[in-house]
Amino acid sequence: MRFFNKTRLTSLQRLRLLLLALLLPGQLFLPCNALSSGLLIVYPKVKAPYNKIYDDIIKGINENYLGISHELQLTGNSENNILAEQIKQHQPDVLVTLGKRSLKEVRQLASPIPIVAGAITKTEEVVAGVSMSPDAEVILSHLLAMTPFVKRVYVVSDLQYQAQLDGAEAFLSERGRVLQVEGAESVQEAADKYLKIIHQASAQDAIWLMQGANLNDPSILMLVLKAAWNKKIVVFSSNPSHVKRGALFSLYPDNEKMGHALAKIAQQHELDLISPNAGLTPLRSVHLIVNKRTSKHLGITPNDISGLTIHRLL
Amino acid sequence: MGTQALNTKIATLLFLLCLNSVNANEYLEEDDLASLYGDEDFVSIATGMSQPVSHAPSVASVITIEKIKQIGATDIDEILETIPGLHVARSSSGQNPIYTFRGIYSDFNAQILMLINGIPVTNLFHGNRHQVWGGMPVNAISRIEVIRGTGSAIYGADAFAGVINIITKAPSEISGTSTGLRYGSANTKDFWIQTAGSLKEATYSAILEMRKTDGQSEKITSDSQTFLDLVSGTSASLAPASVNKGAELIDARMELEYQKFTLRTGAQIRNHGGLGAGLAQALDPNGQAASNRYNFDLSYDDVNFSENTSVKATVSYLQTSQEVDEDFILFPPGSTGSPLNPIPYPDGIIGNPEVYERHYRANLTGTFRGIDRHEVMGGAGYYFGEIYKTKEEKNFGIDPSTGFPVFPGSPLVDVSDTPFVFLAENERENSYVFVQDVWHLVDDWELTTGIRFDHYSDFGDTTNPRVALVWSARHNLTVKALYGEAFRAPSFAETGEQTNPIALGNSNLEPETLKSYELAFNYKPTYDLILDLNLFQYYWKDIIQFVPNPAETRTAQNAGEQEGHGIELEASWQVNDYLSVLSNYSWQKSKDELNNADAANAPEQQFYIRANTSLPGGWNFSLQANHVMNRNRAFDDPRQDIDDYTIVDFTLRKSFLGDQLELSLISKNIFNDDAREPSPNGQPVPAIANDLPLDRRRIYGEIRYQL
Repeated sequence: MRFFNKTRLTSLQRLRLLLLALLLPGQLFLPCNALSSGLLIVYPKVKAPYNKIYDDIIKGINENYLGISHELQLTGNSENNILAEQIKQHQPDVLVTLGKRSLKEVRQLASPIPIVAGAITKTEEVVAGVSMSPDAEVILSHLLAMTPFVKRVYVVSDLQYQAQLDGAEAFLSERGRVLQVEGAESVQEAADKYLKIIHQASAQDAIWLMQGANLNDPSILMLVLKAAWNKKIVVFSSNPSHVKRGALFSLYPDNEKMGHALAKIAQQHELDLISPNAGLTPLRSVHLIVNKRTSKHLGITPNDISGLTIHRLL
Repeated sequence: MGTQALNTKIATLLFLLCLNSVNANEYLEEDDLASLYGDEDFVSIATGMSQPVSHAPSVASVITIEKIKQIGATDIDEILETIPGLHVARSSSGQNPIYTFRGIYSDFNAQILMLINGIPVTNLFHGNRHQVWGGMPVNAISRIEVIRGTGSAIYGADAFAGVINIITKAPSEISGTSTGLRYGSANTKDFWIQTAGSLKEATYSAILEMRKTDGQSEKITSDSQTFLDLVSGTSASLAPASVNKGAELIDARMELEYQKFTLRTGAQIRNHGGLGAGLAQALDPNGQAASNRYNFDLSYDDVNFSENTSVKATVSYLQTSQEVDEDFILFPPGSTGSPLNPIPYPDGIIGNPEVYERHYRANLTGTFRGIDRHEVMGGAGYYFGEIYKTKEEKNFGIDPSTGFPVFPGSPLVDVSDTPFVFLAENERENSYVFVQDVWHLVDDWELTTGIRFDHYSDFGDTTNPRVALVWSARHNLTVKALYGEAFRAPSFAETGEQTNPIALGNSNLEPETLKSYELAFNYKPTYDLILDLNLFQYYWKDIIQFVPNPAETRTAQNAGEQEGHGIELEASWQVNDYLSVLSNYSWQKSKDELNNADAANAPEQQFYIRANTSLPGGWNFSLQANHVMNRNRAFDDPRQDIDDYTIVDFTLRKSFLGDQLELSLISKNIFNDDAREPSPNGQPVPAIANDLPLDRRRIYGEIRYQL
């Protein structure tokens, strides 16, 4: 079992440390834990290209975090001893975990040090951090920027996403649009609902392929994309790989900015400005990916997408 | 080893592969991330580890790092062979690759444009990559984009039968430091190390690759000396003996990215390169060639130069050489060189030509999207290239110091900088402008028109247009109709060779031209299946050939003409999470119009299939087969058509420690097929009658380690 422990101090961080040192007398008037003694970022070893996701998040944390950060890469299972040693050695103010496994390992220690979790989609227990799934409002605001003519958004989903759907409905309603939710609990049921939608929908409607619903079977997806093409219905997806198949657009995390957000939450912890039970903040910093062929078919040229930066054009 | 024994071994491997228990937790984290991004390919795109293919309207293939590993490629030629419509034949000299696109075959293979990071590596001497090419290792390669058909409206000269653009890894594609070692057949050793990092806002990467090999030991049974022996009464030929393919190579590359600037430098050093079947198709076990190639390029790329404009500017420098490590023995000791000469040369006939080149390029391209429904790209550039030095030592011909013939047995005479040197120093300038408009006509129709004007200091002007109409016919069907014209600049050997009586240069040559028509269909019938069908027809004119003169010499002339047509069909199927299959079939029929005969040497049919299984637990197994069929002889070649061949390869990989360590077993030509590429025809008989043998079975073990 191996581990890697890195301490990185960029020149910017050095400058910040210097400023902190100069401000030290002032710190006497602040709560004692306000002066950062550092972060320990715990993240798993993953194969390429996934490793780049964590590298970018860590880069983002280091860019925005004022104190010293240490990194611990977990390379195997049950590395509690190493983790405990590292915590003892660095005495961090906050433990930042990236990914599901790191969070699990850190939780097992039952350490009193606050945890900030990143690069996860959901947790069973409440933890402060940033979700890896784009916020429904963010994806819908992109939809309205690109296709302002859309009046109604159809979505097939199961009930576990009710909270997200309620938020989406409220967001659209405020903007004079309608979210029409079709509940489904099986792939077969979803297929029936999609058939119903593509029968009803017109060129002023959009179909949202939601992430994680497990209802977007490839064969259904092809059926939806075919009907949508013929009727010029907008199809957008929470799954970026659907853009390759013909969905108009999708979003994926801007990992460096997620790092910035994690650094901010960590600092709020240090200043006791956040509850440990704050929960996951929805992901708002995203990259946009657009299918050029579909956008042209719908009469939307990339030049028309004002105010949005297209990160990738397939 | 018998086929049966081999089959048993493969079965054992497959059995072991299936026995491997699946560790369900090992890639839990990756699965989680993959589900968020959709799939692993998309993670690569999203994180900048790979760039999506540009949707230029052309018939193009892209081979990524992942596919390169599936192919088990040890050299770039093994990758290129998998592309439909492209076959890698071999030249007798140095066994250099002849990238044969759609039936367009020539000995020096100047009809192909090879680019490294968008910069041509074309040499002035023969218009090809280099006569001492020596292969190219693949660990620095991020992806290869191959365009079949014409591309002169964008790329200029030599984007004729096809364009091969090799993109090397950017710093963002390399994590930390990693190294690898491969050892196998013919005492072949490959080593590579790569690293990347950042310094403030700048990122850098460095890659070093080294190879040393004894080369294959396949034999040829007769050579040009065999015939000379017959007519001269000598017995000098070394045949039957093996060709000489030993090589030592070093490739080193560095890349530095700072804001919108990218600086790349590279070196390709080739030493002790064997001469294949010999420079004059007479076996030369001792001759060794060398080449030093250095490149430097600086580019500025600003996609948001202004609201609707992107700009890219590039300057580059390339220096190349063809050098002699050990004397090139054109004909072996004891040869008289000609039936008319009764006196044998005790050391053989030796000729040591050396060529040194420099190439300077500057290019500016801008793209403007400010006009509704149009995307206009335009640019201009300048090129200056020179053969700044030629050197030659030889022990035959005329001694410039005396004006008399060099007597057999004499020491080598230096004929550099005299009228008796094989090629005079020379230079060429080229300036050009080009413009292309992508016009979004109506929702599903797009028209691309482009034109490029080139002025050459030596042969004048040429203008090359292209037109592409793209129709998104259905949600899963795209149809492209393409027309393009291309030119191939005559090489300096073709315009200036002055001492080889059967390959005399001609300064009045015009460029070769090509007009091509293509119809391409891309169809995605299901979520996991992609089908491509391409139909093409081309007219290749003013083909430069060495035409016989009354005095039994030959001079380069724009003499040949060839018409060809054909189809390419490709299927890519992701069967399930673990298994993917890629297959392609190509058929072409080309006609030598001058001689009213089937065009020679290029395969009329090719079939390729690759299956890859990627299993949890870090196992990956690839099996591929390449079947090359129907290669015609030249109209006046007395030999029977060359046999078809099938080469089957496998690659087995297993990663450990979460990809930190990877062990591989790679085998090429596992059934030990006697595959051969056509040797040139000759008068009165072909020198190498039984063609050029390819490598028999090869086995390599490979280890990769992430530090």
